[in-house]
Formats: sequence, C-alpha cells, structure tokens
Amino acid sequence: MNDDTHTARRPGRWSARRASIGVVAVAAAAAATMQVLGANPAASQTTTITARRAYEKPSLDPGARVWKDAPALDVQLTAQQTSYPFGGGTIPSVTAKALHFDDRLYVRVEWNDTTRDASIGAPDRFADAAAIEFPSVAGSTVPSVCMGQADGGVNIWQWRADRENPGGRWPQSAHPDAYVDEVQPFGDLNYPAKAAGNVMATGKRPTQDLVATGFSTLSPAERQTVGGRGEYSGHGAGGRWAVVFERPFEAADPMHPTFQAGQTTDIAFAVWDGARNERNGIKSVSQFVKLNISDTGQKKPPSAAWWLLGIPAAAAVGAFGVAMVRPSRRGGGPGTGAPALEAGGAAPAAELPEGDEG
Amino acid sequence: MTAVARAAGAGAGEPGAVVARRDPAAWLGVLAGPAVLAAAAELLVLRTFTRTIIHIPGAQSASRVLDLVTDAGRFSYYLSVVLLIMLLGTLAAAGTAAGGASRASSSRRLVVSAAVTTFAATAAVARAGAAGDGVVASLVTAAVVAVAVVGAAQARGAERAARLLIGVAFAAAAVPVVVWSSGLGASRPAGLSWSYFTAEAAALAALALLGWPAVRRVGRGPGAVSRRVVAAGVVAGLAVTTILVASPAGAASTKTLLLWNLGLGGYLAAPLYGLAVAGAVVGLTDRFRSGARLEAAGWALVICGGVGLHSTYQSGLVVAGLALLALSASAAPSGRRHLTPVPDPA
Repeated sequence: MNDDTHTARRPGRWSARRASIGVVAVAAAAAATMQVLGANPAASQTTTITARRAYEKPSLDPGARVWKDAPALDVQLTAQQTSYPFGGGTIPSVTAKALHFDDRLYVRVEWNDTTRDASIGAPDRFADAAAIEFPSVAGSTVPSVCMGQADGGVNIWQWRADRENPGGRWPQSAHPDAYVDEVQPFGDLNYPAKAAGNVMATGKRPTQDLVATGFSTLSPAERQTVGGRGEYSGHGAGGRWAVVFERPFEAADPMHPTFQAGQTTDIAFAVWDGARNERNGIKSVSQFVKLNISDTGQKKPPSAAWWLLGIPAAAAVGAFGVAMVRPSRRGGGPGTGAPALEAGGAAPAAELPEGDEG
Repeated sequence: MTAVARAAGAGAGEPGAVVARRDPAAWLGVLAGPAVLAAAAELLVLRTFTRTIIHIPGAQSASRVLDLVTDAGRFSYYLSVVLLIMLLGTLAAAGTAAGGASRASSSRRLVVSAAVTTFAATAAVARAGAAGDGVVASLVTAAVVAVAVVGAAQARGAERAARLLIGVAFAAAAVPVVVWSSGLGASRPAGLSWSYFTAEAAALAALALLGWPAVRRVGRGPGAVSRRVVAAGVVAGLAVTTILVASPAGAASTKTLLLWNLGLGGYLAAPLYGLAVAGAVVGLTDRFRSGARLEAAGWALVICGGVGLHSTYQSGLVVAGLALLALSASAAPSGRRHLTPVPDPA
C-alpha cells in the first residue's frame, strides 16, 4: 500500500500530493469563474486623478475658475524608449486635473515649456503638443501604454499647438520675406489630404481623436468628438502650456471608452516640445495612472455677493470687538478691558484719571 | 521543530508527506508551490509575453494564437490571485497557531499574522473603493516593511541583509505613491527621484546577496553547491547584461519590461542587473535543491511581485513571499538544511 492511500484513509489527514491536487482544482475552478465574470479582486495602486462634478461648465478655457479648486496630480514623464524613433523626455512632468459636467469629461494638462512652438511652416519646425490616452474598455487588464495591444485597444486624444494657429502652417510663417507665387484657396484638387478625408486636413479642431491596437495601427477614429484648446502663458523659464480636452461620456466609436460617474479607468499622458525637434515617437510619456470619475461634486467657492456682504459684516464685527476690548477712558465696568477684568469689574481708584473721581 | 519549520522542509509533492487538515502551517507547503508556479506563469505569459509580442513585426497576423496565449495568461493571473488569497489566509492563520520555539519567535509570528491580515483587509477595502489611496498605500507599505523586518530578525548573514534590503527597496519605491496619494505633496516629482535609485540599488543588492551563501559553498564539504548551479547563474547574468548593452532597441524594451513587470527603472549599470539575476538564479536553485523550499518559494513570490506599489495583487505576492520567509524559521545558513519530511505520527 502506498503512502498516499495510507494517509488518505486516516481521518483528518491528507497526503500532501492529494491536498495539492485538490487545492489546484478548487483554485482553477474559482479562477475560471472569475475570468468568465471578469471579477478581478485586485486593485490598482498607482496614483489617482479624481474628476469631480464641476459646479459650473468648465468650457475649454484652461483659465476657467473651476480648475482652480480641482485636485491636481503631478504625473512623471520619461523619454519614449520602446519603439523607433526613440527620444524625448525633455518635459519631466505634467500637472493633470479632471472634472466632469453634464455628462462630459474635461481633462486639463499643464506643463512648463520655455518656448511657444505653434508653427510648422518649415521642414525643421515642429509644434508643441500634448496627448492623453485611455484604454478603449476600462477592464481588469490595462493595455500596453505604447499604442495598446491586439486584444486591448486605446483611444488617444491629441492636441497640437499649430492646429490652433492655422497661419503657422503656411511657409510664410517661417519665412516672412519669402515670395509665394500663388496659393490655391479653393478646391480639393490642390489638397489631396483634404480630398482623402484626412482629419488633419479637414478638421477644424485643434485636437485629433485617434485609436490604436498596437504599434503602427494608429488611425483617426471614425467620429471626431474630442474638443480641446491650449493656452500659453508666461515666457522663458516661466512659460507654461495649459490644454483642456473634453468629450461626452457617451462613446461615438466602438474604440472609444464610455465614461460614467462612479467609474475608474486609466489615463496616460504624452507631451512634445517642438523646440527640441520632438515629434512622432520622440516625446515624453507617462505610465497609466488611475482616473476616478467621482460621484461627488466640486465645492463651490463663495460668490462675489457673499464677499460684498461678508466684508462689511466682518469689518463691523471687528470694530465691535475693538470697541469692547479697548480700555475705557471713563473707568471700570463693561468695556474697561483688562484692568477691569483683573479687578473683578472695578478698577482701583488710584488707576483712574483724576478728573473722573467722584 | 515547529509546525511551520516542518512545513518548510516538506514539499507538497514529496512522497510520504501528509497534511493535517486543521494545521494551517502544514498547508503552507501545499499552497506555496502552486502559488509560485501560477505567479511565474502570469509574469512570463501575461506581463512579459503579451507585452513583448506587440513589438515583433508581423506577429499580429497570428492573432488567433495570440488571443489564446493571452487568454491563458489571464487565466494564470486569476489562478495566481485565487492561490494568493488562499496563501494569505493560511499565512495569517499559521502566524497565530500555537507552538513557537520561544516567546520571541511567537511574537514575531504574531506580527507576521497581523501584517498579513492588515494587508488582506486593506486590499479588500481598496477593491471596494472604501479607503483613500493614501491610506491604502501607507498600510500596504507598512505591512511589507513589517514582514521584511520580522523575516530579517529570523535570519542572519547575507540572508538577513537580503530580507532587509528588499524591504528597503519596496518602501523606497512606494514613497512617491504614498506622498502623492496622501496629499503630503512634495513640490515636484524630481524631489523624490532619490527613492527610485534607492529602490533600484537595494533590490539589486538583495537579489545579488541571495546567491552569496551558495557561492561560498561551491564544492566544499557536506551541503556543497554544484558548480553547475553557479554556472547557470553566471550564464543568466551574462545573458541579461548582454541584452541590456547589446542593442538600443533591446535595452529599451528590456528596461520597459523591467519597469512594468518588476518596478525597476533600469537606471543603474547593466552588469549590476546581470549580477542580480545571477544571484537570484543561484540562490533560488540552491534553496530549492537543498530542501529550503518554503524559503525558495518566498523569494520567488517576492521576485514575481516586484518592488513598489503597482497593484494589490503584486503587493500581495511580496507580502506573502516575505511572510513565508519570516515563518520558515530559517535561522540556519541557506543550503545547510535538507529536506525534512513531516514525520507521520501514526
């Protein structure tokens, strides 16, 4: 009789081999069930951007006041070193904020950039740009941050500075003294990209709505629903770009993620510095961080009317307080201040001014 | 010999080994092996293969095969999660089981049990979204540090240093997440870059130290380590070093995989990573062959989990691995212990 049979018959004791087989069988059944149900008991531990419900419409203005009170997260960036062309990494981090309002998601990205590069009018000129990336489906497995993967696509929203500056796309922007024979303003014949339906040529938005399922699969989404606007402020070392992206919660493309309040998904960031010849894969990129689209509302700051009432009220209270604690020239009792309190409400006669005696 | 120590020497597949149904320590030996195999399969198939294959031109044409492999990888992930949950429960119970060699040993086991329970509760709360990220990050880091320190107190020499260093590595890598998610707010991320370098250096040193006791015993007396074990480590180390320095594309992809899979950024010189891999291969092989299987399983789980806060799954692997190390009562130098089958009382 072998040991397995021997030990298995003894009450309360199993052979280790039989126990192992039993454990693996039970675990495999549980794992298969969880896989079918998509029930992932683990939670991501990366940092989180919380998108609260804004108290008013954020619009596309990066300077809108709702952004002042939105929680910010600094997201680290590194050079893109996974696929040719390698490089970038000149922007160390972006400050990201997110809000939602009326079933639309707003994401604000801000970063330091010493130069405003909004012209691509010459072959060696490249524009500043920013992009955010979402998994096409918020699921238990996060796709590759590098353009997704075959079974896990991504949706990318890209903003480019030159698309907010249409004049910057013409050669005259780079060579103001150059002479241009003729520019054909009409007809698609002279604009093959436009004729081919390239959203870069036809779209009026500064943003592109892109989808991908791996390297070399990046293409425009069938429906362009992402809005955006960038604003450059300051100059030199104090220069900063701030860009706002927005899109309705509802997906307009099979590769678009659907958003909803109470949902957590993932978001990644990329930034290009045109002055450093960054374009294409030469960029600064982050890993995925969590984006929590919160049910809670943003705290509304007090309105100007409250300030109009509040400041005089505060001044009145302050004045009353000063009057209460200021030593009275007429002696003790209420309003006589510290000496009266120390003397139990009656100041010593010796401390009173002579003319007040009697 | 404690029940846990007996379990440390009893591989699940050892002929003659028996498991008392109500003895949690005995179940550690049963659960550790499958948990390591599932975690390793998840690391290799899901985390590594599916992230590497997309870099290979033309691989997308075999999408049917890729889908099957990816599904298999996902299954290994879920299997690993289930086994991890079972292992954590058993570790928590084993820590409170009666029968310590000394009062100090019992206290340490209680600390391990408390840390594992804290981690499990925190992970559950995190999944339910009922706690802030800062609280979750802090508690998970505290649990890892606690089991690492207790494990270090149970060991000595290079093993003690390795356990402490892996705790330091995890804590250092967790600092930015703890700081940012707690709203403690270092002014710029660059102000925390020291933490990544500290984590990287400590993790590599810990792995390199794993192999040191074995290297010292090559071909010397009883318990000697085979030269083939060391040769395997050297080959693995040279392979990693070569990949890291041979081509820019290879180096970039390898560093990306290092970061995604193990939380290492590839900041340091390539030979140091080779040294760490060599140490890990030699150390794990030596422990496995010399019968210190719970210890080998513990280190394997720690390696599969990586350093830093990525997900409660990966942190769970680290907690379980370090708890296994702490409970395996391995005060003796690695390699001196040989398989000790659980005696059959009957």
